[in-house]
Amino acid sequence: MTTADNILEVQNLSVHFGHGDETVKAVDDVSFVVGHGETLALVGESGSGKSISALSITKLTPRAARFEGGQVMFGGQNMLSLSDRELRGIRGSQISYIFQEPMVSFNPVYTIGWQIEEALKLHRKGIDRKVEISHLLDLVYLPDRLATAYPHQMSGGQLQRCMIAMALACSPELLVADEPTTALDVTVQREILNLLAELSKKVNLSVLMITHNFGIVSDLADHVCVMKKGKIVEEGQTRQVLDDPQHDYTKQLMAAVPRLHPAKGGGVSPMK
Amino acid sequence: MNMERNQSLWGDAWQRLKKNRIAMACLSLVVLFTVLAVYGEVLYRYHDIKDTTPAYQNTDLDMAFKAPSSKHWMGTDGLGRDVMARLVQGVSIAYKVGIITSLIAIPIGVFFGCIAGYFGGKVDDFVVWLYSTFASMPGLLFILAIAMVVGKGLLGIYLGIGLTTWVGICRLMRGEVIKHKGQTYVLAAQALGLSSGRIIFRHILPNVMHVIIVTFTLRFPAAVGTEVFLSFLGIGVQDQPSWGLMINSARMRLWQGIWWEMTFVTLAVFLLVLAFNLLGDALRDALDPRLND
Repeated sequence: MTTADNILEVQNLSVHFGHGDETVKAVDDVSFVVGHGETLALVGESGSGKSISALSITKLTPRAARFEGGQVMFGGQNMLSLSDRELRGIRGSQISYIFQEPMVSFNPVYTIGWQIEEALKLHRKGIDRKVEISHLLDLVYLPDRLATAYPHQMSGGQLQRCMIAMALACSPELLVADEPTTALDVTVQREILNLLAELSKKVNLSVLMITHNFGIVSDLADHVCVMKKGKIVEEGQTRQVLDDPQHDYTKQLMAAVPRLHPAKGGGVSPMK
Repeated sequence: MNMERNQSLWGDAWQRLKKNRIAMACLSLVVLFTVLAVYGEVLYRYHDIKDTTPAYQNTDLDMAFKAPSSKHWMGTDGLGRDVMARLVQGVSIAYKVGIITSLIAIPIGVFFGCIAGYFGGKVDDFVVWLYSTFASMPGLLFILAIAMVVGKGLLGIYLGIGLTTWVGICRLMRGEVIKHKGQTYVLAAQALGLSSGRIIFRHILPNVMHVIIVTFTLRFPAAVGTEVFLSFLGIGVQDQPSWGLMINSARMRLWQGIWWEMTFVTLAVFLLVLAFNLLGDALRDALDPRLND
């Protein structure tokens, strides 16, 4: 594949924590690509390195993380070799993030409108910000008046919508959604996923979706990479992986999706 | 809720503060003290330039140790000077000591605490080393040394107290910032492409403002207390009445039944500290939107 087809190419990325005998290879020689307008799902259990992989793309990893090799190609540049200032110019404007817990992802002392406005101030000069804020809230089906609400006055689902509005504020090319529905209850999860799917089509957004839930994968993703202990153990077209999983771990993960009426032999089983 | 409402953090806080009656009473008291402090300062400067003796320095030995009366509402001291005039004059010294030392200590402490907590690593090591070094020196000796360098008087007190007491707030801020740094809203701000300075001072700082406000209100009595013993040691205020000097002289005569000087000065200290503390508490609550629904 050439760069022209892909918006993001991660090649042989390794991120380690700690030194010597205590080194933890959180991300170990991982490669994946996200195509233009496509959705790639990184799937794995907690601690499999999927979140660190996602944060590595714009070097948002904790200070203790060490980049041991590989490169992250985005827009023709290797993100890992950019300066802080250059990275700040890309964060939020070309690559946006949505995090797992909307309740704590907003600054509690500022209104939602203020926080969306800040993103606009930073990356989009010379627009009418008031109009743009109400346009963004419209986009995620929230009433304008919520712009003056504080985060604690809103529900998790509303906040995650605001988070999406904020992430889309500067029309990014790539959206990284780090378990965007994990902290929400099931009915709200559905709404948020539908919204994400709709918006990514509407603005031709490429999405890197981090999840542990194969239900989400089958709904949203074009491609899927399954991670375990920092390595990618299986990858491919979503349908192909779902229909015919090759790796035992993928089968276990798929069986671990809770269902109301589990098929024979399925259901919840703790992973080893 | 309407769109026209003031959107700024301080604007909202003021709206909430206005509804708190105790806070407004304290604010009036603080305003009153401020007016007295300005009045005292102007009076001192005026007599300084004219080279005349201000009313609060007028001695009248025949009138020494008179109990409160219609002529001297708060009585007179050992040299026959009017206690009320001296008390009012003392507000200006207490204010200057309390506020100027805070203006020196709090920005230093907040700045170093914030960058140490946020950046960690070598920056943190340096700041911890710096404040440990300051903390290891006996404060009084340090203040005396500074007073030696800049000379007797208020400047020595400002610098001495200001440069020694930033350590406490620095430690507190460092801890608070470390706590907040790990929260998702900071990661979200980083993911938005904000600079470190903006994240520290626009996002984290308002969330830890209560620490600064509480520190400020608690520093006031401490600074006045330090001024008391510095004046007592003779390196403090020289030619103006200060509450420290007044308490110090009144203390000796309390057993002779001369209660008024001590009573009114301590009452003034009490009211000032109470007003600042209650106002500080109310302000801390008003600044937290979560406590106001």
